[in-house]
Amino acid sequence: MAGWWARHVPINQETVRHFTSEPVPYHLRRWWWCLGGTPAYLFVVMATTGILMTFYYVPRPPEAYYSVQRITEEVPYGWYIRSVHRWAANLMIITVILHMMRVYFTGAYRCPREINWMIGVGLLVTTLLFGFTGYSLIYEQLSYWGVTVASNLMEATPLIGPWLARLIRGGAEVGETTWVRLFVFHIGVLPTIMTILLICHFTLIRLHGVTPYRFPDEPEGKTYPFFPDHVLTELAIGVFLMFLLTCLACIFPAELGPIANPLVTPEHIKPEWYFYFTFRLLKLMGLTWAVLTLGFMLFITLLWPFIDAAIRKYWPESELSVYIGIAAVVLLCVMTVWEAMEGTVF
Amino acid sequence: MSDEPIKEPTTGDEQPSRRGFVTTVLMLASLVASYGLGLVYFLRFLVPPIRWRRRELFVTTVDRVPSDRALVWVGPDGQEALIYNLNGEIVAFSNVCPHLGCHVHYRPSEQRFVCPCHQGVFDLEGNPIAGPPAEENTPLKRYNIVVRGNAVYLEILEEA
Repeated sequence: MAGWWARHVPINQETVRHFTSEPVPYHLRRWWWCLGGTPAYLFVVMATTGILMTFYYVPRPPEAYYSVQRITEEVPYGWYIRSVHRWAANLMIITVILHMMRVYFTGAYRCPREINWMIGVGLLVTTLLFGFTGYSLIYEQLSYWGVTVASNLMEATPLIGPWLARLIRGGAEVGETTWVRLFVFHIGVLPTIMTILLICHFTLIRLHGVTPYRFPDEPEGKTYPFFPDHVLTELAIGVFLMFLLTCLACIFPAELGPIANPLVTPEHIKPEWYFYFTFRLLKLMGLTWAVLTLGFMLFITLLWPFIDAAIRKYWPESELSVYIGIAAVVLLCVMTVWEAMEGTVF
Repeated sequence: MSDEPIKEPTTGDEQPSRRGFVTTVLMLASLVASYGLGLVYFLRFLVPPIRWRRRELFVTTVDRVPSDRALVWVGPDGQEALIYNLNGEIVAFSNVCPHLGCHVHYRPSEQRFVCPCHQGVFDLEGNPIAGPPAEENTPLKRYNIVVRGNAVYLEILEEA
């Protein structure tokens, strides 16, 4: 039997052993050093629950709303599948941000890992787009007006704006075709991009090895094997995550707001919490400045490893990157909390 | 004796490599051209063409246009306008906020139009007075009103 497999799937056993038993540095024993694996695990959870929901979802308004209602209220365990999907999305955004912060503050993005940081930024943007298209598909009031605001925001992008807006709307204005497109983006385009980026991200981590780091209480150069030790740690985190997601789904199940009304913008409207920053920024400045500021921030984040290298070249002892990082985190938190605190718009 | 440098004897290998280079360049150029053209077609396929047409739609009669509040008119295809009598003149504004497209609400107590999304505020003449639209100086879009006899028509531009 083993011979049959060896002949039909000619993989060198030695190669498999080499790839699976990468020595993992000892600092990865600390769970918060495993935050990168968490969003990857959550992505699998979301792909599974997402595919399940696709069996019932109808990507055309207003049936979209009724199909989500059916999933939530009638289909056996539909409420659970949808709630897990929603909570996994929220946790994924939190863990991606935490993972990025860990990478940033330990300087793990530095030479030669700049490209992997950039891929990581791509993954963050993809995750946020997943979130946006995801809550748009429900076709509740928040979905409709969120799509309207976002497509107009895209339209304000210099040069390609009008083209981009038409691409997402499928016409001159937000309408029926927009939801078909949002659905295609959510279940086809974005998962493909995400999978490609994840493969590149993991491949580069494997090629470079985990960034060296040593806590003071750790023995010098001590490692442990990726398989089975580290895989078991990740699996344990996975089990804990499923437990957490189930608890959250049971205590705070995904709700359904009022159906979209294209004629009336509700008096009180807010996007999901991860867009509070953008939402607040849009209130604070004119549209052109807001778009330019957002673009500039993304550009700086993307190219940060190179900017940091330039700073360190001129001021080798400088801790500027740490202060800039702290300032960015504080700004993100302040804007988010500020928006969250504003319970009533007026 | 001539000072001319002695030419290296040709080995005959150069000709095929030069030909190889040209072939590679042509191959790459055609690949880029064909895949590039394919990409352009794909992108054009994804972005639908839009045709606009102008229409005149009956709204109401002159005597029914209010001056103390805004009449929210909803057209057959969901077009919306705020219509009222402003110092003897019938005016119509789009209720779509020029900032990011949310619909403004009329506040009779303040005689203002307010956008619930990013807090844009407009006066009765559609001028932005607070929030992001004021920063950008983008007023509410004004529709052209046509009065024929006692009938009030609104001129709109819509997707054909």
